[in-house]
Amino acid sequence: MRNWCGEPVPRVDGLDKARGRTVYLGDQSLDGALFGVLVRSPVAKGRLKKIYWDESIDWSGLFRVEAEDIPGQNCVSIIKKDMPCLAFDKIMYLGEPVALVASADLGLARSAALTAKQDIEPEKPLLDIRQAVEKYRQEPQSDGLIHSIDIERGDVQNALASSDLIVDGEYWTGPQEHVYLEPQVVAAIPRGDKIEILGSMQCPYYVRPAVALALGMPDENIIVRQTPTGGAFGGKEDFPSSIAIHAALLAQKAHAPVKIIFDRQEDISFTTKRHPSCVKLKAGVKADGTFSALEAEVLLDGGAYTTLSPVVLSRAAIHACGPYRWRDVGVKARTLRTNMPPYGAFRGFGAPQVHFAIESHVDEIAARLDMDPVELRKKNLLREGDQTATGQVLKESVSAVACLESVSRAADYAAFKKKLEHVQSTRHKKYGLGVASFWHGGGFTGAGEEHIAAEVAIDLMEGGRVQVAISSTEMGQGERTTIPQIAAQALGGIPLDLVSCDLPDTSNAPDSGPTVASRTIMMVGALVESCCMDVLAYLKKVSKTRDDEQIADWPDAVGRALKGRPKIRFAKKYEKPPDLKWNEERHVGDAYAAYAWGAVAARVSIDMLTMETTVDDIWCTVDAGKAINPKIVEGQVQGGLVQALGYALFENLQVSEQGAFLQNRLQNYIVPTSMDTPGLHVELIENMYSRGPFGAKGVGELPMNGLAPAIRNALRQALGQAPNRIPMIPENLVEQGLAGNTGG
Amino acid sequence: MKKLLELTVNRVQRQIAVEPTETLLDVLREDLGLTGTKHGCGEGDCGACTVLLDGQPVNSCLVLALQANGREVTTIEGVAADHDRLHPVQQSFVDLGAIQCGFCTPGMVISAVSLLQSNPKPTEEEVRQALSGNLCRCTGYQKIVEAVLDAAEKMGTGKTGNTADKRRA
Ligand code: FES
Ligand code: FES
Repeated sequence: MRNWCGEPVPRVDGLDKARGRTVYLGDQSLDGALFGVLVRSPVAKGRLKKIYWDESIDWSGLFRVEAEDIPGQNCVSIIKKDMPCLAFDKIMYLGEPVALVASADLGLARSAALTAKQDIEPEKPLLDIRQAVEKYRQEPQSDGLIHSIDIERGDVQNALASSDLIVDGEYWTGPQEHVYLEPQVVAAIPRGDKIEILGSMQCPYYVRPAVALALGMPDENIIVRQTPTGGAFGGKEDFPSSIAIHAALLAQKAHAPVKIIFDRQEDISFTTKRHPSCVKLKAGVKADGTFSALEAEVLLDGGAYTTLSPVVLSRAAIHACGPYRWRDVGVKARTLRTNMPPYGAFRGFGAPQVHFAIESHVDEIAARLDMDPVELRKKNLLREGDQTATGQVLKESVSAVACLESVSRAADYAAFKKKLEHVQSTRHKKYGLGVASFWHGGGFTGAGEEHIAAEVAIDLMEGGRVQVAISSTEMGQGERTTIPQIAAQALGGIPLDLVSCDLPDTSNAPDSGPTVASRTIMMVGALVESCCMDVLAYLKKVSKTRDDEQIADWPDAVGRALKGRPKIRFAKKYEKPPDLKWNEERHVGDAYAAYAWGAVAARVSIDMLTMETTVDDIWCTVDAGKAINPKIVEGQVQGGLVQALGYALFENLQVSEQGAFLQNRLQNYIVPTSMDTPGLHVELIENMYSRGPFGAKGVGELPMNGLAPAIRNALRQALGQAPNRIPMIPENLVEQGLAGNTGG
Repeated sequence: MKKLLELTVNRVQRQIAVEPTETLLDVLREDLGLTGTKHGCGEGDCGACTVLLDGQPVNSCLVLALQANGREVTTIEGVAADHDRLHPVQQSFVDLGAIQCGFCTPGMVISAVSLLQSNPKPTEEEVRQALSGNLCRCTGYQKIVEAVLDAAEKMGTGKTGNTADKRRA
């Protein structure tokens, strides 16, 4: 019997990756494969009348597909069916796919694609969140809305009117590109009446129905297999569906395998990004610092089509009030349509944007009250038994205060504050220490888990081997290591090397849902645990082992169960706990089964001549329940923090007048390097969640939420005034009038 | 017009006919099947394609294949002393959790190996500097830096035992 949960075992795929032996799809040569390329619209908005191809070139060995060639429905099905696979008639953003070309020679395919002349009647596009916000505020009911959510609790107007102090603020965040190091890649291989899709992806069961619908084929005839995935972070949640359709269309036309592999520039220019946002807050506070009422307007730029924006908006709306007690709340959340490539899923999924707003705002409130920001937070943070903005009573596993206390102790917050004035008066450099609290709901919002109805399977095989069959993907976050740890322990502590969890293949793995929303360990892991308990009970029966005893000879017990068959499968399906209640329309009830909590402190210095900010130290404490593999959890937190560091300080995307991102190479879209990254001091608190596997909650997205406002709050302390816009690059700080004050 | 390229890759002599426009990265991946070296940007910005050219780290996507004529190339497939063993840097990457998605790993390992060849006892700052051309979007670099320092220490004391099978204990 061994306790695998809590062990920092090395990851199963580590050796191959260290040796360069892991075969990503770009490393695989497929027999007779062609390369597919996309023909994209040259304008951001307009009417496409016709595409003219240069018929004078030699088209033998070249294949092309236009909208009219699509055998099924011309849409990439996700939440709505409003995004075409290939645009016809309406062009909605610059670079929208209008046709496809394939050839065995990538260079030939590219030059053939370039011959396509598009007859387009251009229209005036709406490109920028600023314009979109202006338009929305003038006519809130216009057709420019993708989605709306209102949350109301109590009577916010009344409560504001009777508050001792009212604090207003408006906060803006820009788009963020994922920069998974392996660019988008998929392949489609015709196999008789079936099509096999290979790809770097998060959600095989999103790809399968999407390809089936566009090709007019039954779901079962589409087989989707994930290939080793070089990072994803949400960028491979819905996007692979659309290029999988493209590859499948070409493969069907050419009767040959087709691979589509993006180069970095294409990837940055045209794939999804984090939604830009504008969040306006009005907080009502009592003289003693008690929060009473919060009014929030949350506006996200959704880009040209719906894609995942409604669920991103929902998470943004629910997290907008921060991890605090407010008696009265009014949240108006809207996704606005612009003529930009659809914004989509990115680690945090709407939460980082609203955290930037509320956590900045808390420091503004503290300044107005002349209170310490840590003390103000402690006074108002959610505790067990409190209610959230959706009226959810937090029954267990609440650690907001503990995380904040841990971080302020680790950062020696009080001592730093005392030292500060003395340090500042002598340099052209200014220093600051900022904190932020944060939270993140695990799993799908509201009734999402019920709709997904995840299923898992456990296969018992000869020699006592156990295979976990789930559609959850390994994208670097450690799922192939952590899920077997859960299974091995739930099966009574059997040797870990008996348990494996392969990359999913829809012909074998049931639909355990997409690998998103910090749900893999908390939701899928819990199902794996409970399926293993069924397995264990069954094996105890066949091996005549008493309930309170260990199975003495595991391979033998499995052998008895197999009775000569190569494998037997056990399955388990999600059942909604009866006490979880949710009203989608009103956004009232138990928004998430459990929340993970955190706090972060950042010590920064800013050079008053260049206005460049350096982060010198980051302390972060999180509670994600039981850390099944503490080393992997730490890695998630560290990685998330550095993505948040880039979000806060470096990652800048500007839009040209035509609607193109100006920074579309890694030379000008700057992500943090090892030199930009300070020491990361991470601590874990384990506050168990009763329904999680061995007490675990989700951790994947959590660390993305708090660092940007902590850095902003540190700058506030350093400068006396604060930037209210991400990214906090020198140009933006200057534009906001924060330069020129060199203190003493 | 193709030209003959002669070079040594991972201690083996090779002769390949290449187009003058082909990069060293193309030749390694496509002609020699050494796909451990990754293509992350093709523009010299990410470091996923890092290999050693005559012992120096280079972005192989920026090197024309013919520039490597008569020279010696080491890729991730050739950093360890033999096929079954790991270089201490690879071992420390595995042991200390410095790998997530793994796409940056080959380039990172090469840069780290090269650092430790020229500077066997680097400071943390020197490690960060040496790896600054290699982007990693997953790990936040902390465990990578720790792994390189760990490897340096073990190489210094000769303790480079194989501990990757710890999880099977
Ligand atoms: S692929 Fe060579 S530096 Fe990115
Ligand atoms: S481990 Fe994924 S980029 Fe470094």
